[in-house]
Amino acid sequence: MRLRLKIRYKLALIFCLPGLVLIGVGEIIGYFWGYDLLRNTILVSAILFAFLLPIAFISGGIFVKSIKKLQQATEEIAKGNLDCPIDIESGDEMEQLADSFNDMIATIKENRGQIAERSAPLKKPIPGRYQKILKTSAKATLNVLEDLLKAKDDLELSQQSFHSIVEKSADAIIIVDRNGLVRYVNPAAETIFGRNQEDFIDDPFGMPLNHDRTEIGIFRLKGGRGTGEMTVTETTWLGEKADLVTIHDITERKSAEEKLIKLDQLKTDFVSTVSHELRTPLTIMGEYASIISDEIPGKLNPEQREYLSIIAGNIDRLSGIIEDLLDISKIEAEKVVLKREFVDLASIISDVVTQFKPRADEKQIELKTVFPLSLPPFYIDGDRIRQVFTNLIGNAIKFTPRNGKITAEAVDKEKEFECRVTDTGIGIAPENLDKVFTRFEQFDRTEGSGAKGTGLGLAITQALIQLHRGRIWVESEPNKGSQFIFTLPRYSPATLFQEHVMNSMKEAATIGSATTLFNVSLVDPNPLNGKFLQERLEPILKDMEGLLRKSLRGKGDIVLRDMDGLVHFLVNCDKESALRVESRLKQKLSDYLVSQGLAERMKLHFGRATYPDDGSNAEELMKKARPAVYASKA
Amino acid sequence: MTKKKILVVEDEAELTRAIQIRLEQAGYEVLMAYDGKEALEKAREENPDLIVLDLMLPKIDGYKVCRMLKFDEKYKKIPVVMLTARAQEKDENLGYEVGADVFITKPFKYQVLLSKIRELLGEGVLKTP
Repeated sequence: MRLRLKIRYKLALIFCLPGLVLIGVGEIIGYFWGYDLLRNTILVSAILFAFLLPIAFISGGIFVKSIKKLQQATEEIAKGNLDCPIDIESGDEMEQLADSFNDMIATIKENRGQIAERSAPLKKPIPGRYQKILKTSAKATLNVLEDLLKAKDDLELSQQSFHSIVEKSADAIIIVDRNGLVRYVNPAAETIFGRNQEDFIDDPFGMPLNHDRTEIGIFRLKGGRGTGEMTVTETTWLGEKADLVTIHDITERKSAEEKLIKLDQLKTDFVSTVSHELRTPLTIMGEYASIISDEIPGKLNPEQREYLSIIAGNIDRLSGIIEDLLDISKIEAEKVVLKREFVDLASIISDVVTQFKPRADEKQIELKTVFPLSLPPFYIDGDRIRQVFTNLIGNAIKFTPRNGKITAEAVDKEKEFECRVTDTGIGIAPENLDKVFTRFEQFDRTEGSGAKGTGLGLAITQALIQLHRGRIWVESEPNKGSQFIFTLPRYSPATLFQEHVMNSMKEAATIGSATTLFNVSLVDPNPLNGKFLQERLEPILKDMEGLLRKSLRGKGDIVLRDMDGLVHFLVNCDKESALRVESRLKQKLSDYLVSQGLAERMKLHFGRATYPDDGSNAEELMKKARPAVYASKA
Repeated sequence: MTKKKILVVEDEAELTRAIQIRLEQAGYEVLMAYDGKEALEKAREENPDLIVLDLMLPKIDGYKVCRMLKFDEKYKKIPVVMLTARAQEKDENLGYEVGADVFITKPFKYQVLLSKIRELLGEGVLKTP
């Protein structure tokens, strides 16, 4: 619209008009009442005010009305109502503003309409099948998300586990691929090799990787050089074959091993040195006492004889104590080896009983033996078992009062043998029963002969029986006597020797050498001389065994004498050397027979079989080795 | 019949003397040596019929002495009785390896020594052990 009258002209009019009127009024007042300034000024000001106030209000009103109209309309629009045209017809800029406003509203209205039109289809509900698809794929997405989250958690967990195990392991863990390059090292490996991970990876490992345990030199974080044990196993790494190398620090263990070896050596040295130092003076004392007692330097008067006998007796006593102490030390230091052979147990027991008869008679104790008619030979250390019986029977005598009875027996119990020494002595109190075999424990004894011991006898006896792989125990009640029982496992000579032969063959097989089984027997071709020579056979065979042992000089040889009169021995040599060994031994044994004056009466028979030439198992070998003379016997 | 000569080698003088007393009583002539070196010298000079040899000897030990004599053509026939306070099995085996004929541990009963000596000199009758 075109402006009819701009606002500033309206304002000019509004402000000038009162001025003009003021001047007019002033003139009139001046004309009629004079031109008194003050009175005029006050009058004029009052009149001015009277005029200006209403003018101000009116002019304000004119503009304010329009502004108010605009403001109301804007409020309506803000509320969302676009249907309120602004009606201003003042013919000035206000009207222009109102017109523009109306245009703007109209445009907005139009746009809104268009949007509404266009978005109408969107407000329609989605058809069923699309809904379903949306739901399913939404669910599927959710599941995938869940799985991914779980996988992430699992990965974290396994990473933590990996970290806890491999990263924190004190053992070095290294992965080496098939080309010998290092693919992974854990922190421990870095320490042991003194290298950082970066310096390790993709470099060759540098050491041969056979699948065995090897010892290698390592460097330890604390303590410098050491030894490690390296183990290699097959594994996969990132889908390819690789080797897992583990290195365990065994420096401490090695030094402990070395210490143990040194300690063992110390024990051996101790036992030998102490033996020597203790025994020498005793031997000397004993020798001189016996020389004097045999009256070599001159005759003795009865008192001298008596006192000397006391000295000699105590030397023996001291000897016994020292021997016991040394024995138990040796046994505990595990330095005792049994010298097993086939012995007649009955004769051992009889010997011991004979030895103790005088003492038993002194106390009028009946001492007897009981064994079955035919006891097979025992594969035991004869001297040691004799020691056992000496101890048990000696104790029995010590702890049995006058007119008692002691029995020594051997019983065949199929799988093993049981030997018993029973007495009618004072017995053992129940509270002492389990202390009986303890070292240095001694209980009350009865009066009579028999020196006070060291309390070691039963401890030694127990150890000896255990070395023989037997058991020993006691049954006793106070005043009802005691029974000491021990067992000895049963060995049949055949199986035992067979075992030796098998072991020897196995050894030979492993190192690719040979072993030969020899048999020697002494035969009397003239059985008429029978009885006499049978008695002599024992010691001769024993001597032969000794001779053989000596000549074989411990080259892994075993000499075994069985009750058939055959001496078996094994020599680690091949067939050729066996021939030489045989001829050498033939010579030696013949010489021996000659020296014994038996060359006429006895004949030596040799049998020989070599593994692997003459047989591949123990039975074959043993059969082949039997001298022809024995062919008839099974 | 001339007396048989026995060389006793033992570094404990008192013990040597005790053995000497006994062996002379038994009718042997006794020579004495107190260390390995002396033992070899006397053995070569006097050519004894038997040697009683202790193992723990100064200068040259008993094993070496035995070995040296046994591997020597001239002296290997002399029987050797080894004497010692050490009683380990390996000592005994070692003894036999160097050629000893008999091994006796101390303390020993004099009779045992005597009977072994008699055996080795081919004088005695075999006793049942």
